[in-house]
Amino acid sequence: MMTDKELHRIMEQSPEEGRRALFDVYCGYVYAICANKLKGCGTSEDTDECLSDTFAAVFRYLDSHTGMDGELKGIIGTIAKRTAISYFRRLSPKTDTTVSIESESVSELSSDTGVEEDADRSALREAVLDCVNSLGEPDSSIIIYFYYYGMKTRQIALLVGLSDIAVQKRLSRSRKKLRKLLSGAGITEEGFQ
Amino acid sequence: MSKDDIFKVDSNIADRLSKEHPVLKDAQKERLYAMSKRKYDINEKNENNAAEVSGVEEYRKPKCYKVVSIAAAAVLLVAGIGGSMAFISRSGWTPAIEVEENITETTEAVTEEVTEAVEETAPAEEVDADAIAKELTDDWMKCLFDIHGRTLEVDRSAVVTKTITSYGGDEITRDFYRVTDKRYPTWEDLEKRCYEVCDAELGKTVLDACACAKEEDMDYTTLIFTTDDGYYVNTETCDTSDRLYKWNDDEVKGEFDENGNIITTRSHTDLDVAPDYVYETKFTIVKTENGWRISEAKEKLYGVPESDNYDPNINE
Repeated sequence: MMTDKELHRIMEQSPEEGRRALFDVYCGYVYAICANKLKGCGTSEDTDECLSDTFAAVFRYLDSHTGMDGELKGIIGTIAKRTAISYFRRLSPKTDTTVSIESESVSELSSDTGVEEDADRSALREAVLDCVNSLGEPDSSIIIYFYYYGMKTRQIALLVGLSDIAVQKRLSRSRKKLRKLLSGAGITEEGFQ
Repeated sequence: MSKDDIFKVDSNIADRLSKEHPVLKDAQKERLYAMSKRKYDINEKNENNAAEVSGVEEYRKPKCYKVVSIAAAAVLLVAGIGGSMAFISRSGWTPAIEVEENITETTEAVTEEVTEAVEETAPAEEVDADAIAKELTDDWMKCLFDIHGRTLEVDRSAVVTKTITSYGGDEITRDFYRVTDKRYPTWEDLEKRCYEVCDAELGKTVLDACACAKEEDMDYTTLIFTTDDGYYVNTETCDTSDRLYKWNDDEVKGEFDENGNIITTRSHTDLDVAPDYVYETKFTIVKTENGWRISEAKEKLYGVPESDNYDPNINE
């Protein structure tokens, strides 16, 4: 996979090629942030719009900061999160949309966060993802598509090659297994049943 | 820690998800890059012309976007049916929802014709609806198992291995047995059998969705592939033939509806994924020029354990 340094070099030589290369490297990352933030309130089309707004903003940002050679992930993540929060507010007019960018913590998306609490929370989420992965396929993918990406079981069925009903059943059973795994790892959850 | 917090995506999780569980296909990436570039170009153009123009050209979602989305969804639906039906061969699941959606119009059209035919010809009372319902629904199940390779006779002494790209982009290998079933020497014979059980529309839907492809068109959903010299079935599919489900009820009741179609309902228990689930399939059987054929098969969960009695799409 291409490094940020290589991306910077390509962008200097050919901005167009650089933008394309940057998109290829980070589109999955941005998609995960946008889809997670908009789950439950937006459609997949909204997620697409959010992602493309994010990259348009990233390209503009890089145009105005030529010569920078720092890490890109933090910047891209921050822009993605801000864009997703903006979409979330727009798409959830009747629900509680009080989302503070500050409370969401921009540093949370920066890889060099120094806040202990954020680090603990991040470690906990990593542990949760490890537990999900330990479910094995296709159950781990089903849980991930459902809970992280916010997909409906019918969409998941298309991705994993199962029927909608089979996905629902596997989801139900995987939740139970995951609850035990989380409990075994010392992670307690409210509302996860 | 709340559930929302547990599954919240921060930078590290987003990074891992994009690498370990990517969801964007190449075609999606191309489309999304084109959208991003269009938005970026429009903005750049506006900035360059800022001194000359007073208005701002805004990015507008192309009108064709929705059409493209619908078209893409249609493609996905077809792919999904393939995926769903592929699962039949492993789990014995029947294609309830997809089939229902695909044949609604046809059923109505056929219904009108049948109504007239029934009125003009034989009275419904003279037809043994119970016998027709039993025979066709028994055949339906056998036919599905055959079409999905679970009950076909194969040569287990020779395994053909194929390398296929999975949906995640990884290369995987799949093993296949050559089919040596005397009932169906060729794949076309199986297709013919399908049309003896289903009407034209349902038969086409079932066959389109049965995870069978030509050797050169194989992908990760393919469980049967055909060549000029015979056809092959996935070994895993064949090796699950000990877990075939059966109808729970031997006594079958067929009843005529107001259109002269035979309606019958049968149930079976899932033997693979969840042995405690009972499914009920409602069949609509119509009279065609070739005889009675199944025109619709709608499946629903009948017995659901209390602990699992929820729709995650709604309850989550």
